[in-house]
Amino acid sequence: MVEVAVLVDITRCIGCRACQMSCKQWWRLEPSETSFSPTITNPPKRDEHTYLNVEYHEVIGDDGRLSWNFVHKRCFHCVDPVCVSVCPVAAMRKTPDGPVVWDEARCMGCRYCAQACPFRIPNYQFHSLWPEVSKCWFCWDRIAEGLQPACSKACPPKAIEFGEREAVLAEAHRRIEEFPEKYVDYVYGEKEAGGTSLFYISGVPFEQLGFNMAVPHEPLPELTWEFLSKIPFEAAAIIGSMTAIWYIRGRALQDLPEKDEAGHE
Amino acid sequence: MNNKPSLYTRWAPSSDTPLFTPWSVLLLLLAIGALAVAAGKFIFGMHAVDNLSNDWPWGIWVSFNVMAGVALSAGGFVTAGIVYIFRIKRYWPVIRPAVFTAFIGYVIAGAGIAIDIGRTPRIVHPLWMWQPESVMFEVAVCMTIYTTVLFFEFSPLIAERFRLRRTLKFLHAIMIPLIILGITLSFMHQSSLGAVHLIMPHLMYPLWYSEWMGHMFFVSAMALGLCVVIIESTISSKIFKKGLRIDLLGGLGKAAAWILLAYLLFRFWDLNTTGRLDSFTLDNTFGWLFTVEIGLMTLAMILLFIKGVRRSAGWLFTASMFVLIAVVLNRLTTDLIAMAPSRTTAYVPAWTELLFSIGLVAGAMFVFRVVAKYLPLFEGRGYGLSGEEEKASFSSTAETETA
Ligand code: SF4
Ligand code: SF4
Ligand code: SF4
Repeated sequence: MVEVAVLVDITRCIGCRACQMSCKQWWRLEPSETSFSPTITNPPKRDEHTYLNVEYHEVIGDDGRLSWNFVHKRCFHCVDPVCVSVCPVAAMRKTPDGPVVWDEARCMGCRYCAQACPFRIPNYQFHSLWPEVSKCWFCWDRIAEGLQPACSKACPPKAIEFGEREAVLAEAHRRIEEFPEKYVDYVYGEKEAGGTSLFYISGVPFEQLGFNMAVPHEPLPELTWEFLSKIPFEAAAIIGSMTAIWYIRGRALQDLPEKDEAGHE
Repeated sequence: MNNKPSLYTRWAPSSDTPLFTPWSVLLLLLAIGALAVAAGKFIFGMHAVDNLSNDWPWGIWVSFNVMAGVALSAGGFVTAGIVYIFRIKRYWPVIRPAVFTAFIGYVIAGAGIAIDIGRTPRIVHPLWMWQPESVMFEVAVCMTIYTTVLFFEFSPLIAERFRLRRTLKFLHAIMIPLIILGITLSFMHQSSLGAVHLIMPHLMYPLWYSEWMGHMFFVSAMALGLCVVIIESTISSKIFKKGLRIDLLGGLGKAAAWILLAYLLFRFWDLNTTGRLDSFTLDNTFGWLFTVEIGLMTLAMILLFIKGVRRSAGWLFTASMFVLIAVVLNRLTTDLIAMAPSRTTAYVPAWTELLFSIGLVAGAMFVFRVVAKYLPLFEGRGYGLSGEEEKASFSSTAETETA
C-alpha cells in the first residue's frame, strides 16, 4: 500500500470548521465544552472529544496589515512516531499506509505517549473510568476502504488535500515555487521529528501560528535507541565484572584472612 | 545475642518496642488515607483524585512515587554489592535493613504506578505485550523481576524466623548469582528511568536534559541509596533503642562522597561540553532550583569527605538528608518541573495526590516497624557468607565493640 499524507494550505482555509464537524460525526465524538475566546477558536483546545480543531490566529504582518489565519490542527502521523516508540505495550502502531493508530485492547493508560509526543498531541480521558487515548486516527478505516479522510472530504476550498505522500509533498513545494510572493518558503511537517504525514504551507511565518519550531529535525526515537541498544553490552559488562570481582576478592580473602578482617575505616 | 554481628553496638531486642506509639499510629492513618485515595480513583476515576490534564499527563505520582521512589530504594543493590561481590564483610550488618527497605520501596513504587495508570488491572500487560523499543517497557520488566529478586534476597529472614533449614541452605546457594542479577537489573532500570526523558529534548528546560541522563540517574541513585541506609539506620537506632555502629555508616558516607564527586564532575562536564550550562541564570526559577540541587549535593559531598563528620551520627545524618533532598529534587525537576516551558497551564498537585504519595511512604515505614519487631531484621546470622567468613565477621564486630 502506498503511504498517504495530507497537505494543509493555510492560505486557502476559510475557517468554516467543516473538517472539525465531519471529524466529530465520523468518529461519533461527544461535544466538548465551548467558550468564548478572543480569537474565536472554538473549542479553544483539542481535548478527549475533539481530535481536530481549527485555530484562528490574527497576525499583524511586517507591512502593518492584519491577516486572519485559520489553521487545521491535529496529529501529524509522524514517519517515525514518538508515541509508537515510547508505548511500553505496543498499543500505538504505525500502519504501512501512514496512519498512527491505537489498540484499545493493549493500552494500560500510562500516558507516556501524551507526555512525549513532540507536538503534544495525544489526549487522555481523565474523566472516564476506563479511559482511552484520544487523537486523530487519520480515518484509517476510511483509508483502508479506499476513501479519503472525513475532514479532507468535507473541506469546501480544498485546503486539506489528501493523497500519496510523495505527490502531496511535491505539490507543496510546487505551490511555494510558483507563488513565492504568496507563501513562506517552508513546509512545516517535512522535516519536523524526522518527517510527518501532515504538510502545512502558509502565507505568514509558522511561529506566529502556534507551531513549535523547536521540534528537532531528526527522528526522535533514535535518541532512545542510542541508549537502549547499548544496554545488552553494558549489562554483560556488569555481569562479567561483578563475577570477576567476586571471584578475585574471594581468593584474596582466602589468602589474607586476617588483614582483611582488620576491618576499620 | 550480644555476640552477633550487628549494625548496632548496644542491644535491645526489637521485639520489645511497642507496635503502636502516637507516631506509628499517625503513619498508619496516613497509609489508610492513601488506601482511601486509591479506592476513590477506582470508584470515581482519575480526575476525582488527581489534577492531571492533557497539558500535564504526568504528575507527582510518576515523578515522586516512581522516579524518586526507585532512586530511594537503591540502597539494596549497592550494599549487596559491597558485601557479597566486593566481599567487604564488615558491612554485612547493614544488608538486611537495606535490602528490606529496598524491597518495600519497590513495592510502593509499583503500587504507586499501578494506581497512577488509567487502566490499573492492565499493569501486567508489559509482561507479555513486549515493545523492546520503549524505555518504559524495560523499566516495567526490570522492576518486576528485581522486586522478585529482592524478595529472595531478604527471604532468609523469614526462613530463619521459622527455622526452615533447607530453604535457608537453598537461598544461601543461589545468593551470589541472585545478587549479580540484582545489580545488573538495578543498573538497567535505574538508568532507564532517566532515559525516559531522552526522547523529549525540546520539551524540557536544558539544565536537566543530557544524552547521558540515564547513566547520571544510575550514579546519583547509588549515592542516594547509601545515604538512605545511613538515614534509615540512624532512625532505627533511636526507635529500637540500639547504639549505632558509626564506623560502618561512616564508611558508607565516604563511599557516597566519592560517588557524588563523580556525579558532579560527570554532570558539569556534560553541561559544559553541550553548552547547556549557558541556560543557567538566576533570573528564573530553574536557575534557583539548579542552585539548590547542586549546592546541597556539593555541600553534602564536602561534609562527607570530612572525617569528623563521618564520626558524628548527627552530622552524618544531616549530610545524608542533604543528599536525599537534592536527589529527590532532581527527580521531581527532571520529570515534572523542567517540563513547564512546554506547557500552557500550571499543575498543582491535588491534596489527594499528596496524601497518596505521603501515605505510601508512611505505610512503608509502618511495615518496616512490624517486620523489625517480628522478624530478625537487625539480628540473625550471616546468610551468604561461608562458615569461616561468618565467624570472622563475628570476631571483627566483637573487636570493634570492645574498642
Ligand atoms: S504527532 Fe505525536 S501523536 Fe501524532 S504520530 Fe507524531 S508522535 Fe504520535
Ligand atoms: S497511554 Fe496507552 S497508548 Fe499511550 S503509551 Fe501508555 S499504554 Fe501506550
Ligand atoms: S483524518 Fe479523520 S480522524 Fe483525523 S482529523 Fe480528519 S476526520 Fe478526524
